[in-house]
Amino acid sequence: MPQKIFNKIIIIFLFISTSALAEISYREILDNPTDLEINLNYAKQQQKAGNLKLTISTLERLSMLYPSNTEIKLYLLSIVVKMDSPAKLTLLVQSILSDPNTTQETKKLVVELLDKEQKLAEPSKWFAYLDLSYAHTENSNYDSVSVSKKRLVTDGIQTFSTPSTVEYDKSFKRSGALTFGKNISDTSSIFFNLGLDVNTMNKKQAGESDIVNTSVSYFKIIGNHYLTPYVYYTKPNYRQAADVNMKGLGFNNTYILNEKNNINYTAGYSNTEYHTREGFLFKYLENNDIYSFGLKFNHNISNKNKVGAKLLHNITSSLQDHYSNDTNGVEFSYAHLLPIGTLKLSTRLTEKKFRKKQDSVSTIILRKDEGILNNISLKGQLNQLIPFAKSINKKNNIFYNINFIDSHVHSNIITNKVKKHSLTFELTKRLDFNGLFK
Amino acid sequence: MKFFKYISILTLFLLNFNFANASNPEFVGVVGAAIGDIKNQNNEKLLNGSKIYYGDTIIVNKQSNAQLLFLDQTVITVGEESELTVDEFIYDPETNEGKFVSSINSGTVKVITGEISKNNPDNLEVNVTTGTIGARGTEFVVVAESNDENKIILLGPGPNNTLGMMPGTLQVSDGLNTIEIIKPGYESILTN
Repeated sequence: MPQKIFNKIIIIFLFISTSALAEISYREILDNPTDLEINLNYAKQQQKAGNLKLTISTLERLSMLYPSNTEIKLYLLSIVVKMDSPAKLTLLVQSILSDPNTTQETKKLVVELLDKEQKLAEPSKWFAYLDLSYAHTENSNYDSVSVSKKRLVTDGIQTFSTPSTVEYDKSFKRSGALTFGKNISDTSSIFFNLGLDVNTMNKKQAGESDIVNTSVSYFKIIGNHYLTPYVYYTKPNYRQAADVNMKGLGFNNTYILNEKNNINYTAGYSNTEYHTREGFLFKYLENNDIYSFGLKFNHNISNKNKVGAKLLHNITSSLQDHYSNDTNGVEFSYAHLLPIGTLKLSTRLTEKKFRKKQDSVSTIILRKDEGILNNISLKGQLNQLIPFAKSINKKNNIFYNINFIDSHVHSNIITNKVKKHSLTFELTKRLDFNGLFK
Repeated sequence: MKFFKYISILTLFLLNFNFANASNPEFVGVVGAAIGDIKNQNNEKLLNGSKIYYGDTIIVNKQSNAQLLFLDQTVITVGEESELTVDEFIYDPETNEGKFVSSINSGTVKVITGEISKNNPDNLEVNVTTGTIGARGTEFVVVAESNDENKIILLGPGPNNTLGMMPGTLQVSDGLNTIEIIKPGYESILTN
């Protein structure tokens, strides 16, 4: 009992003492691992120096050696609650509460301390983040020039007028997208997104653009359904092409069948409206409404492997009938979780049938395209791909995406027989603004 | 004849040198806290402050636990009915470089990483019966459920800690695949 009182006096003295104490080395701790005074001073010194791991291990040792000393446990708890580790906190709280040496008063103090910290740590219902991206794309056939370099014009074959047509080109995209939203309940959230893409091209002949996009989406879990309805508006401003407004709405729902299988179905409507200006007087004839539907089955082979099969159907109705078409397709995908990121392979086969002949192209042939699109992508956190990046990407908030697309379109119109491939490298840094809402 | 004499003396000297080294194994840490019945592989009882040497196996019996402090500031807490072997420990306090390999043979063991793994998680290697764990700047628990199953739980600190601590990582490998655990509370189960 006198020893207990003595220990308490030492601890109280150490807690209130602010006087400078001689620096205690780790070697001294190795020589005196059980000395209460030296070790408590050491724990405090290490906390001050920011070496919290040593503070924690020292306090844990003292807790083992002096189990009836509740002050040490509370000191340790006051650090562990700030560690952002519910697992460690639970272990510690359990050990304190189940310890027969812990008094009722201490248990009450533990609960009070936890309540206080929990209120401080409670996440805000509002969240916000900004994604800043830089992407570099090399495209083998930017303007979709036909394989034969020829085109059909009013039933006659012409050669593409090069060099005004851009084939191989590089494009650079800088984009920023601000997302903010609110967790309405445990099962629902709303997201608002505002983004701007600035695209430039190597050859600067066409295709440069600023694209403003906005969207609002809502996420709701209803039983096994994960439902996301959305609306969006996109306004590209092309330097040497017709400007256009695009708006749309739709929904995406994933129904979880069981741990291994889920079905995803989507429906969407979009409207595209071209602006009439000099050089693009008849572009408005391509104004269209698109109705799209998708049905996908996903199967998780294991925690690391997933396969999917998707059926898709698009109906495009244009102001000018010869642009109207129906597309049916099927897509097979495989995703594999690697230590460096997620590798995804997919193949999409489509058949596009136009409803009316385009007389300015052919008065005989009704256009029909068959396409195959292969996609290989690898994406993940930069630290996964380059381990030494951890020293500069300490918050682990830089993501990479390497994407290769290979597309072949076979068409009964020579103009539309097109092969192209593109390779994109993209880096995205996510800036978290959640701290603003606390 | 003189030549053989020299050779014999030289051989004896070398043998003596090796014996001297063997009888003075390297001290790698101390038992910071010994609660209950703690022994080493020679059945010697370990107490508070007992030294730990290269190659030692620490055996913690029922209703006992121990905290081991190593020279590089790695701290290992060994729970009851647990066994841990120090397979390799090389540490240069000047550069903080080195290599620490240990094996958890049974029981529950908690590790707080020290200087050796600060720059390279590969330098701290914890072997379990079903795989290997590498760690940097973090704290984790290994629960050896059986010879065929080991559970590894990352304890943190987490990325949103308000102590200014650097979140650490765990690399868990079964020999074929390696996964990284970065979120505290997440666990990996290694099975045979």
